Amino acid sequence: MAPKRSQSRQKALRQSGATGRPRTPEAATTGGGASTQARRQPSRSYRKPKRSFWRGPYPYAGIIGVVVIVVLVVVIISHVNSGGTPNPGNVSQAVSKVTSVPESVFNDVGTGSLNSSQLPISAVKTPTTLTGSGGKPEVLYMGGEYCPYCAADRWVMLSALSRFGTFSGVKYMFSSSTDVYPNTPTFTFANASFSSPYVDFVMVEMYSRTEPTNGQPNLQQPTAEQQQLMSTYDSGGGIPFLLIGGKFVGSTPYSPADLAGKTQQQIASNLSDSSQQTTQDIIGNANLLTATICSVTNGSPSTVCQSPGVQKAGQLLGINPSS
Amino acid sequence: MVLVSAIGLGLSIYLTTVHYDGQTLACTVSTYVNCNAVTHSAQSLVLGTQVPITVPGMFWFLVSGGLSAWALLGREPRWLAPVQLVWSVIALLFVFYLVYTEVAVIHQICEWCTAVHLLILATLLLSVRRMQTREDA
Repeated sequence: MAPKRSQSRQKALRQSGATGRPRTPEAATTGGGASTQARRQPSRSYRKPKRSFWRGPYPYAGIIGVVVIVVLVVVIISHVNSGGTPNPGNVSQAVSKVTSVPESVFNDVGTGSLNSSQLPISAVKTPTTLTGSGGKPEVLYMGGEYCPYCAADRWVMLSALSRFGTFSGVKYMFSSSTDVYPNTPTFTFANASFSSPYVDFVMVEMYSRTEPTNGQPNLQQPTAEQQQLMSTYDSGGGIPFLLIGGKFVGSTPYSPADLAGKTQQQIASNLSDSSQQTTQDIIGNANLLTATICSVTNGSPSTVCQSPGVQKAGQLLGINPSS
Repeated sequence: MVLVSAIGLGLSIYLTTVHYDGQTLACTVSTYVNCNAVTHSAQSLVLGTQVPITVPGMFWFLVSGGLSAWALLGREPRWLAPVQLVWSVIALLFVFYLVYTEVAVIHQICEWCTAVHLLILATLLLSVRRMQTREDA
């Protein structure tokens, strides 16, 4: 068996070209053997050492490339889904909850914890007829994003006026972080619109979240007529200013402190639960605002204006929302 | 990598604190950028809980920093670099999900979140560098 194994080994060595002894005179003199031959006459079986995946710039380029591709795909998906316009996404979910509070909640809450001695809406002493550009009764809101009382009021306006029409373009906002009740969660009407067959709602967000030091509007400029209405019906010039059909004027509905520490989603989701304090605040005041709007729309729509919650609010205000 | 992890941990702690304090982030508010809209979204919470995702983010940076510090202490085990690489890849995949929710669901970007995402990307690139160094050794 031994000679046979030796023959096999020699055959293998011959095939590989590494015989273990010099094959050329040069190789013999230098003593380089197979390695010298390989240097001068590379063997056909020679293979370059395999380059590691980790070497060079390829991993970095690969990772950056993947990141760029993923971000591009996400942006394209977003663009296609939104039809090329910015979509408020979760904002619309929260707004949807505020603008579609079940009628049963409005009726359960009624006037909430409001009492006749401290009503946030009152009849003006010298009423006028305030109509919008479409000839419908006008509700005028003038406020600012920095203002925490406006922040609290927007929840009321959003839920009450959505019973008369449809909002669009409402975005998230927080009141100023440096004012009282800092960072009260709310929305902004700065780029919002409202459409309704019953009432015109005019929204003027005069100030941004950063309160201007000079007191001048830095977001939306009120018209001269709006400024005149404000100075007539709100001599102190405080915001929020809410004028309903020239007949009622609103003030701060409830303490912004009740909204502190909650997210817009939490507040909006809680609006289906009439036992929540924020729901009592927002919906109780929304019924009050609804009752005054009903009184300037002559009780339209009747399904809203004749609802028990609105009727109860009307009693508290001493008005008849049905006519 | 320890420095990157420390910065990331600091950002995660800040975002978590702001979440629990009910404060708002110092951030630009525009049509496309609104940190508070993102950090107050449903996607900002761990699925089915009220825990903000910045908490697992803190844990991730803590582990990442620990692994990096281990390598600095002396002779690092051979498994350390590959584990850190896998740890970073997992995080990057989650970052892809978060970018998707920001851009395609919430439609608003959070500057602070983007900073955290970039730190995770930097960690991954540094992990690759470590793998290269390991092969050279």
